[in-house]
Amino acid sequence: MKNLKLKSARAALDMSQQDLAEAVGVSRQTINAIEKGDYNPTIRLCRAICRALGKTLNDLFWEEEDYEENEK
Amino acid sequence: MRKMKNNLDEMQEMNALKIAERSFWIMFFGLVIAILVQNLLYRENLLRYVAGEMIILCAGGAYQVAANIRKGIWSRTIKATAKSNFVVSFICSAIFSVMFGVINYMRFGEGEIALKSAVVFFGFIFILCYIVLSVMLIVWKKKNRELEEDEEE
Repeated sequence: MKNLKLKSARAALDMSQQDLAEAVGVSRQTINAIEKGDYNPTIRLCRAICRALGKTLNDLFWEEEDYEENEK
Repeated sequence: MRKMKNNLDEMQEMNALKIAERSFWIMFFGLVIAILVQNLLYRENLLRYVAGEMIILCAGGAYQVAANIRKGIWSRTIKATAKSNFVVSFICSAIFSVMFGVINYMRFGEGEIALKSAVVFFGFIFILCYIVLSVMLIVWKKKNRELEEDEEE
């Protein structure tokens, strides 16, 4: 599933994938894969991304639908 | 010892590990095929020709088994039970015995000798394989218990 929250948070700060990648110390292809939903980052990288974008884990990586499905 | 700088990020590291795993299996089965082909090519002093491949194959296999057991890993798909050990031993022994029989038939051209040698080979390999797997299962269970009992920090 695509991570549109991450993409929009990055775009809101006018950051390119390359800028975010450099800020968190990974390659651009990794940021691209996370946004496309092709790669699930570790909690360490999630936290680094949240710090770089000034967001919380809930803001960027919490899926409401998944939560509701799990609760059923 | 100073650790070398890692230029890969976590996703690249994961992909590199997947590639390394595939490479390992390509080399592993490449060596098996090389040994089988040399079985057909050389009639005398076979061990001299395949010794290198055998040593590398055994060393690689032994390391993989030992390292996995140390980390409490058995198999992705096969359950760690005496029954599955029996089945795995039987299937592997059967496959290699058929290969052994076919190679012997191609080398010597006598069906009866090939069949007898394959049957003896099967019995020997099956027992050996089952004993080795049983010992590994005991060691794995012990290691797994140790890892499970590891205290919380």
